[in-house]
Amino acid sequence: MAEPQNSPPASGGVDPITGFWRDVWARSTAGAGIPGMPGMAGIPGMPGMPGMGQTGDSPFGGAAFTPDAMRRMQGAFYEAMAQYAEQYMRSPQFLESMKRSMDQAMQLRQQMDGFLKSNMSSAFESASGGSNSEILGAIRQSSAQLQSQIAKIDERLSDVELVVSGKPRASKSSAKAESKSKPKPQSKSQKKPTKR
Amino acid sequence: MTQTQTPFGMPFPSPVDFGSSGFMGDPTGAMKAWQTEFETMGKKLAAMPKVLEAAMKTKKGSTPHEVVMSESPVRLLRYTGKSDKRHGTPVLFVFALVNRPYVLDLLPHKSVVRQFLSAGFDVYMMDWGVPSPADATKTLHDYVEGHLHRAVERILADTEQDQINLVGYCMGGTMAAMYASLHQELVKNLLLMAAPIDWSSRDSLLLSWTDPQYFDVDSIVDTFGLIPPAFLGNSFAMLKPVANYFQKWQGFYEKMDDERFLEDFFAMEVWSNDNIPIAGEVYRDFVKYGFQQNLLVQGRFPLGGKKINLGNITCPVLNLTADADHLVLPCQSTPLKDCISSTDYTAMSVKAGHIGLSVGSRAHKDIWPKATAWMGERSAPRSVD
Repeated sequence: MAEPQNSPPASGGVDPITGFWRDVWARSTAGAGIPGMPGMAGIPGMPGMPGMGQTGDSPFGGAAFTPDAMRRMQGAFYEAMAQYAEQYMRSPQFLESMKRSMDQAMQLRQQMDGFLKSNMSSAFESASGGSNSEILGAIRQSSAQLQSQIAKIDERLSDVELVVSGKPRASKSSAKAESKSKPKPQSKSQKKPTKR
Repeated sequence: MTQTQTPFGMPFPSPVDFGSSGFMGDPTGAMKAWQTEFETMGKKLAAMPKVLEAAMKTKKGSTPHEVVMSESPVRLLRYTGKSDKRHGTPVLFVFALVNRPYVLDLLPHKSVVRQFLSAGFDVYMMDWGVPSPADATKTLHDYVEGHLHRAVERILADTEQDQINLVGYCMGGTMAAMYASLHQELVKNLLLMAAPIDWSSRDSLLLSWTDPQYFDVDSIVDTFGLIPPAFLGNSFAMLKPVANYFQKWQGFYEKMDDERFLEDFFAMEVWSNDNIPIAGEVYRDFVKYGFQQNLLVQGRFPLGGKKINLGNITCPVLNLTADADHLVLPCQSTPLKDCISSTDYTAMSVKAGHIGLSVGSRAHKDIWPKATAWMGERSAPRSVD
């Protein structure tokens, strides 16, 4: 593996990518409890680890990798990767790329909406998503106004009914509603009780 | 603990001692171990039909219920499981708007709903439903003061009670706290599960990602209207990418011949992939006033024309947190204690993650019996007619 000539050397004269994988590898093997690994001396920046590949006492060239050891190594590898991922996803580089991706996604969506609104809806004489939103917004606004008015009428009606029946208020919520309600023409209400 | 410095400056902990068994020497032992491993692999492959069967059998929710109120797409569910109703004050679950609420009733042995039914409560659930483009302009105020308030009024009318027990989970917990602050007279007890209240800590990844410098929530909402479910689902999965995209599947392979595990696994998979969109205006409110400006703990979170003042909460409060919660860190929930006026405040924590709080076996063994007892002691007894 040749090192890229322009890449800046990281700590210990190793480029960041090799350094990263060396750390993960070291962490994985160490986590698995394996004291040394063979075959890394030939890779720049990946030092050979003593104790492996020399003894010849196992069919795997010195290290008897059991499934259990492999699992531990895998667990340690995941742990190392998770730590790197967390660190990277907090970095300004990641946040900048996230922002760029979001901006592109929004631009694409706006272009699609614009195209559908200007071309497709007129071609097929149908309502576009944009016009639907406008209509729904208007309906929602009217609905909110109506609900507000109905709530006020409901409060006033409750007050009138209470005055007519002469009963005290049953719950605190009603009391709260009463305190909020505006002053009402009591005399008029008393003269004309609402029929239900 | 000794540490190794990496080129990126992140310290690794020292190698963990995994014991001395089987990594070097004894080639015969290693060969035997591999032979056993291949045999196990064969057994797992033979279990594939069971895996498919378990996947096909997966249901959404486990306890029978009826729909007592419907305001499309929102529904109010009442659970009808058989139980000896001992408490008069009903319980209403308020779940988050970003996923489906049946995680609280995932499986019979992992159902928070059943815990409350067994404890003698009348149990209701807000099912917010799947918002359509027509719901994109709904605000947090529409949900809290609209749907939730009408559901509470309906439950109180049906059960002939004056007050209700609110149980809020995650974002639903924040909404329940807001509701309690606005209608304290209607809330008997408030139980919050991993509810974000304070967004001042920068430890959460979500808080880094929603930094106003990088995340323009206004543009996103104005462009999309409804926030796409894939966006939300992938964001949550990316909080733990190695666990969600690799370790989960390794764990699945390890236990795929265990039928009980398969049932649990597929139930969780179905739920976690059942993402729904969220109304853009709600998302804007939550991200802007919560994540970015942290207005709730300051008593300045706007809802309708009012400001939410958590100091209005005077009822007993039980605040549940999960130690390993990466979505809502415990430090985002615990400041509630200092914001409310309740004299009866209890906090409990469990060693679990965000979802483990509702489906974890440890939570069901240690936390929920205590939580239901806590609520039972503080609820009105059921009147005998």
